[in-house]
Amino acid sequence: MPQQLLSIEPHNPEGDWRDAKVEFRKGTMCYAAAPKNLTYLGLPNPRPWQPFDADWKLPPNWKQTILDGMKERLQKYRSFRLFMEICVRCGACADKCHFYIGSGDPKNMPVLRAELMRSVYRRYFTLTGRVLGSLAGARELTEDVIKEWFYYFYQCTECRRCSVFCPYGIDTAEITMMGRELLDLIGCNINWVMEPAANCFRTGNHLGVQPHAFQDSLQFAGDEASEITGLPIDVPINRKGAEVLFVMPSADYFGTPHYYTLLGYLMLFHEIGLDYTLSTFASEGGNFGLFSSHELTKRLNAKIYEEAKRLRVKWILGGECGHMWRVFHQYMGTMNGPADFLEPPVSPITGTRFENARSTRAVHICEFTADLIYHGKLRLNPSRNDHWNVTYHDSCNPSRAMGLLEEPRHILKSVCRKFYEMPENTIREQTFCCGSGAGLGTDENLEMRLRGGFPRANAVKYVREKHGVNLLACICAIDKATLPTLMEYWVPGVEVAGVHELLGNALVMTGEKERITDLRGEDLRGDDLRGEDLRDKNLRGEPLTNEDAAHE
Amino acid sequence: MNAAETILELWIARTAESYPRHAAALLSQEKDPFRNPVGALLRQSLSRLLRELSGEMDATAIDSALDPIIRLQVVQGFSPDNAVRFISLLKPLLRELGPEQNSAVLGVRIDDARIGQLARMAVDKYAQCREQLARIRANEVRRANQVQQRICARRPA
Repeated sequence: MPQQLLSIEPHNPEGDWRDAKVEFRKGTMCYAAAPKNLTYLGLPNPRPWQPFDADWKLPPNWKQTILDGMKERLQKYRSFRLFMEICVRCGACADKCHFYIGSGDPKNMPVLRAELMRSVYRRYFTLTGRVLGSLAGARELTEDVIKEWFYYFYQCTECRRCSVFCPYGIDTAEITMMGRELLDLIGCNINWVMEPAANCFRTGNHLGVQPHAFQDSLQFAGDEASEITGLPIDVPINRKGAEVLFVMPSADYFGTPHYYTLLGYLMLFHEIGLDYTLSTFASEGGNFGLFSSHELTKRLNAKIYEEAKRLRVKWILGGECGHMWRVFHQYMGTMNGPADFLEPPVSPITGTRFENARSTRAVHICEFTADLIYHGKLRLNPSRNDHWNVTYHDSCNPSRAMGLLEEPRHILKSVCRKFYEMPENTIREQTFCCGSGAGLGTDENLEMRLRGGFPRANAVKYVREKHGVNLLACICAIDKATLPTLMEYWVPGVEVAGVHELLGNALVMTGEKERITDLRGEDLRGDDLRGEDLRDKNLRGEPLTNEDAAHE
Repeated sequence: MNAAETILELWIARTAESYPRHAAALLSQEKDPFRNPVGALLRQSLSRLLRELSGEMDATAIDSALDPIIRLQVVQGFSPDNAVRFISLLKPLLRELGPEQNSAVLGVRIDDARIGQLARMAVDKYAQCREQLARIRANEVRRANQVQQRICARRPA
């Protein structure tokens, strides 16, 4: 028998990677952008279509449009030209993509996903490709190639994990970004990106929440925070002359568990007496333009500085969001700056100058809060989070795009007594994506998301089994929207929370009444023992009694 | 490697072959469970299933061993028959052993009835996972609107 083991032959068929045909199946793809959204944004080729249609109704000159678009971008972006040329196919990135790990589809290997575009680049922009064709790894640009690009460039969450391992520093996410930009030129984009972008352009936020509803939601949150603490917690909106403009993702005032993070922010700002304002115009930190094109990124981002200028604030504080911080940290300064009308941010409480934000004038809330804790400016009672055994998911963009690794951990270790790290090769710069970023977090794409999120879930499962972890903390709105689903499927019994929700629980506020619930409304007193008992039962996989169910 | 371990390794390798070639190599060779979570899951599930097939056939133990592998294949786009195909891969491996050796190596002879029972349980598990997908999709939508629902509930009509 051992000899047989050595003689295993692969039985699986291995097609030619250059064969561009893909199968679009509901559950593993995103729906096409509705024409009204493209029309609203002034983008080309609005029409009703779906990826599983045979005819994508491409414009007559689609091929020339793509090639002209490639040429323009090759001239404009040195990085794009380099990334098309310098890959040596070493394979270091191959097994680093969560979609490849979770699906086994070779075209999800970052090197091969990039090769889908490189092969077209070779055919039309290199001498060897033009002369030698497929011998030089070149491919004709056909409609099938466009469909394949759409399938795989909308199967990359632009998380940039692969780029951490590339010895040449190729950022495959930027190749995906170029691919999506080119597809935009012929009207091949997804609704989960274009509808939020159109909403954002119209009302200032992805959800299309209008100013009065925004005010309503924030007022409601202020009232709830007041009920929990017994303190009058105001929420200033559009207040000119405030020191700080606070910008957060719109999900924070709309969805759960984001909302509990919002309560945490409001309580913190009240406690330290921060002179801040929210804005109805800049009511969205997230920027789905990033998942479409640099032009749309810039258009949606412009409101942040415009509003900061109008409200005459000194600097910007940003909430827990993922790609918002990639835009703020890496693009905002050059796209819509210089922000010379703002001041280099200085914490009014500790006096710390945030030198890292000197250019953008925008500080991450975790940097701000970690600094407060470091200087002993907050009174904290971490025992209020004793019902949580916490681990931390490094959200891709804050960790890899801005190096925000220690600040959230510093906060968590100060506000929780039971904190456990996931394995080293699944956190910090090597963190695994939730599988739903970059516009892929839609329900029609659920099966693909659960594939892509499996490596992350697997690491959570490990700490759940080893340490009884029951809470996954994170600092990204997309994480908060989609990780609960991922946990429900792969690691039941683990909930998801923002870092500032836990901070809000632990924060001892001046003059507050006795806290009888946490921010989720769960009892912190006598019943807590009952709650722990239930959670332990859940952990052991024991069935709940009717009495237990009534308590839950 | 004893014969029982060899059967397990062959079963894992044959199951991994239902994935494209590059992936199959990763699945069966990479040992780090965080670099290769699918491979680790296959190994764990199949070893526990083989233990039950050659032992007590405890329904709870089989259910917990089947759950991860079927759960995975449901979201990997496997049709129901493809998702349970890994079970039938065991048959030719056992036939190669011969009935006597099968009993000698594994303690109990794994016959077609045991394998059939496992396949039926796998089909049930597949259906359960599909139903759960529908449920969690609805829960996600509910969470996305929860704050607005609470605001509306508090507002006088």
